Amino acid sequence: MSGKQSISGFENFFDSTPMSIIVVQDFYKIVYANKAFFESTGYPNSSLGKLNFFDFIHKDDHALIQERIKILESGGKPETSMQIRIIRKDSTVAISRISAFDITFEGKESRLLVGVNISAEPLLEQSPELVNSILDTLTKHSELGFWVDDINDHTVFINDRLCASLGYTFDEIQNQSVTDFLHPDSREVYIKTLRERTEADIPSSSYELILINREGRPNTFRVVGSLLNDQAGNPIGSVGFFTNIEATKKLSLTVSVLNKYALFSRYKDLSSFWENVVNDLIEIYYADGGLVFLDGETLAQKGTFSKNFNPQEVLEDLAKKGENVLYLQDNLSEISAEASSCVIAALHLNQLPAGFILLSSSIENLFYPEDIDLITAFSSQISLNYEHHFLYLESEEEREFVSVLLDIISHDFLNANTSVHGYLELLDQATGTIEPEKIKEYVSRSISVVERSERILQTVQQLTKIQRERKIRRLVYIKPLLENAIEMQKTLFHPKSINVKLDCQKNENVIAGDLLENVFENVINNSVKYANEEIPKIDISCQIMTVDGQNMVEIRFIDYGIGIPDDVKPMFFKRLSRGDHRFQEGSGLGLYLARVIVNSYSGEIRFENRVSDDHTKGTVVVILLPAGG
Amino acid sequence: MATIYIIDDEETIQFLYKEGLTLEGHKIIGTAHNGSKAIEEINNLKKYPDVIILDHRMPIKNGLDTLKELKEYKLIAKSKVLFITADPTVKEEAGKLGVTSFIQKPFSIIKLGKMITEMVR
Repeated sequence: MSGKQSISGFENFFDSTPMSIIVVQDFYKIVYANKAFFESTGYPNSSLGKLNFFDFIHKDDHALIQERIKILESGGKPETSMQIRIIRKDSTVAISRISAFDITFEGKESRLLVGVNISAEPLLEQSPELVNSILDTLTKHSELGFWVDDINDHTVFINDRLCASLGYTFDEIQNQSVTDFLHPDSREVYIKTLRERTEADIPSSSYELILINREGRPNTFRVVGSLLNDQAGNPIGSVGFFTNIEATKKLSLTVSVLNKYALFSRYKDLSSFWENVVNDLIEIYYADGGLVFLDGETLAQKGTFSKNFNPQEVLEDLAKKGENVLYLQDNLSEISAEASSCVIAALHLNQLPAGFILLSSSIENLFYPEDIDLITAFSSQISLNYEHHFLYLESEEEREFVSVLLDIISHDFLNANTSVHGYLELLDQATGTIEPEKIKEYVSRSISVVERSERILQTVQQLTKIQRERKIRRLVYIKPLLENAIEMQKTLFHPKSINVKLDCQKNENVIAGDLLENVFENVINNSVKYANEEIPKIDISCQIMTVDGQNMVEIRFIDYGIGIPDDVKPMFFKRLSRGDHRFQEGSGLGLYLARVIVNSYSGEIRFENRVSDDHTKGTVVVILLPAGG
Repeated sequence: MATIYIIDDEETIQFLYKEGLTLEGHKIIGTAHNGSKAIEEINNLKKYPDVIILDHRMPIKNGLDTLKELKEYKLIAKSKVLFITADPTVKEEAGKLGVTSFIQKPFSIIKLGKMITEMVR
């Protein structure tokens, strides 16, 4: 035991020091404690001998002590100094820096522990190294950053972890203000919080700050900030615990955007869909520019791109490389003069690259690897949503088509069969006794039913054609199409005359397809069929107009026929309806087909009265179609 | 012999009913192309028809809607309804509204005449 010190005779000296001094034997048992120890812990002198060393150590520091004991038991030497949390008798916590030495006390091997209560004094009075060491101990399991400012908002301490996160050294940050590192969006929040602490008596608060790191990348931190007071209760600075939530925030916002656009049908204005997606992504990832290229078209663009930038070539490059994402930091001048970093994430249709989302920024290395992963995942998912939407619409159209076909079979043909079967039965039943006029009537009606069936079959063929060709759209000049349709109807009704006045300009055009002529023929045919005059009169006019910001062409077919009651008007465009018994000549599908065709060209068809309050004075068929160039 | 009122939107089918059922000895006392017109007319008849032939698939007001109105005006209690439909779900609902006789297209006009004879026997 030689070389070990004894404290016998030093008790009076120990009692005069502000440091807490205890002697521990058998690793746990406190056999001596000085006056400062009893004062600082709140235990009475009489508790000596009953106290166990672990009684006043914070439970989270027990492992640290156990580890040191193990070293001692194995004959090793633990580090002399350590910081531990002391639990006072009133359960409050004090941080203590302890130094430990081997001694002999009352003839027995013992450990002398000398503690300085470093939490009792303001942190600001400690050396930066010590505070960093304490804070590091406090925060080492939580990845917390720690930032202490004085009352003038100058940095006094910042722990190593937060320094590393920002990419600066302590020396570079010392004496600077937090505001020097703040993203402009966070300045107001920070100043407001500081003001609330001092003026509104809100000493602690939790808020988010975006700090810019050395590379210029913004990082969002969740901050729990609090005022630091001196022993007299006067504010001497503030302290903030910083947790970097950048990755979590981006993940959460990206998922929110995906959810927001999960169902395209929920999104009212599809024309600005991609523009909104780009704007949202730019905001989340602090980008400056963005672009969506899909199916050969640039669907949204924010920012300026170089003249040489060719999205199709970028897509081909992406497909050639077989990559889902490209992260570019060099040679970006071909994309944009301002861009210093750029992510290009593929959009897929039918499992093949069909486009991409591009995000660019003037900040070098803006995108973290996890950002790129998220943007790629976002692009994959949004293109699935996009594709799903159109497949859904297509399947709905197919379903309607099949349903109409089944309906035609189960209703129209069934009715036709019932009629013809019935008339044949009557002829059979009354053979020999039936009057020739009756025979003629039954046969004539049967022929008429069969002819109608044939017309229905022609309509079914047209429906099939619509299904096939509804997506084929092109620039269609209206006037020649109307002239053809008028001529066709004139031939059909010959020798009956038709008086058609056509008021359309030669260059008026729409985005539609070949089936538009069928629509015009059908509408003119109905006007002639249900005309009131000897020579049916039809006025046709075209007019360009703006509807909801879109250029449309309105084509009006005005007739002077028997008219359609207002309550019956909507029935005409529905399947199964000739609307009224007066309109029984056709297949009953003509105007339904017209509506399907016009709708497939993103247009509208409706009836109006020629004379607004009197349906008997004739009808106006109004067709609205998107204008061409 | 039954007095019959026909509600069907197709003129050719109406004519067939008239011819075929008359041949069987029945008397057609009225026709309508839709339910609304039929109810108005039946209410104005001096004597309610023995049988109302009601087609389900009609524009403006279908067979079921017409049936509800017929029930509302207590016409179902006064006349028997022969409901024409191929849809089993509609059949069930029509049954709940008091219809007991159904026929599905295509059918024989001769058999329809005999069926009505049975209904009023």
